Amino acid sequence: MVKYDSRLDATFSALADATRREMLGVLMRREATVSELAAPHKMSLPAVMKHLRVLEQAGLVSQEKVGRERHCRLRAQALKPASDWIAQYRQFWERQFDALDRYLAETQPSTEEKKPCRKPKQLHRSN
Amino acid sequence: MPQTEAIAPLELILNRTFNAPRERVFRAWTVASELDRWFLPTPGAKVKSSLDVRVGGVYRIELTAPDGHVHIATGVYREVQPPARLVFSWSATGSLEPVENTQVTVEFFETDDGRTQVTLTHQNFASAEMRNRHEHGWAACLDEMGVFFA
Repeated sequence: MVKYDSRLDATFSALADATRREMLGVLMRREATVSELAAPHKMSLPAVMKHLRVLEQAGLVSQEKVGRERHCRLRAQALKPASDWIAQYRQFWERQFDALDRYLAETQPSTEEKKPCRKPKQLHRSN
Repeated sequence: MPQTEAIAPLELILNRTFNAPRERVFRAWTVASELDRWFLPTPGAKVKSSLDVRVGGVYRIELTAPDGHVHIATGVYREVQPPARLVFSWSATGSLEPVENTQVTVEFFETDDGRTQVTLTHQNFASAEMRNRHEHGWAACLDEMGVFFA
């Protein structure tokens, strides 16, 4: 089992906002200043700062003061618990697929597969 | 609003090809007596589902694990296009990976050799509703998930 901590909620909450996801998208490519992050969003600086604070509290972004500017950096490793959590759901569905596969095999009269000719499709009925 | 998909983990996509015609695979997903025979097949578990397969209809899948714990997945069908497409909301309670109002899309494609490719997309893991789940917290529930993920 993967270990989870209480930050998972914070991570998902932080990700539950399109503006913040876009900010993370920018930071994935490179570090950026607060004003650079604000530029595409037509948002006031305080509003952007508020989003950044959420990201920071979730541990996804760190800020560093360089001269008069604040540089923001992605802390990608903080995404791992959320990513692991979703990976478990992936495993869940994969198991369901395995089970469906078995079910279909057990309940279907065995027919010759890999027929050389195509089955006529019923999707389009030509008039 | 554009989303930065690179930031996923916000959704997952699975593909699998099944050795059965499309109508048959679609039926396995949409007829309760069939779903009960394959969904969540933890050894010793019992599955009981009710599926009102129409847009706006509610489904409910109840799993009783061998230890007696009951896990419920429930939601509403948002799209029903037999035998091609099924979209439903997914909320899970009990200790079955607790989530609220995520969305599952299941698409059924006919392959050239008469088999069925199923594409499953599970998304909205980071929906706003997820924030309201603080009362239980995920971490505690997750520990119990071992029954499914052992």
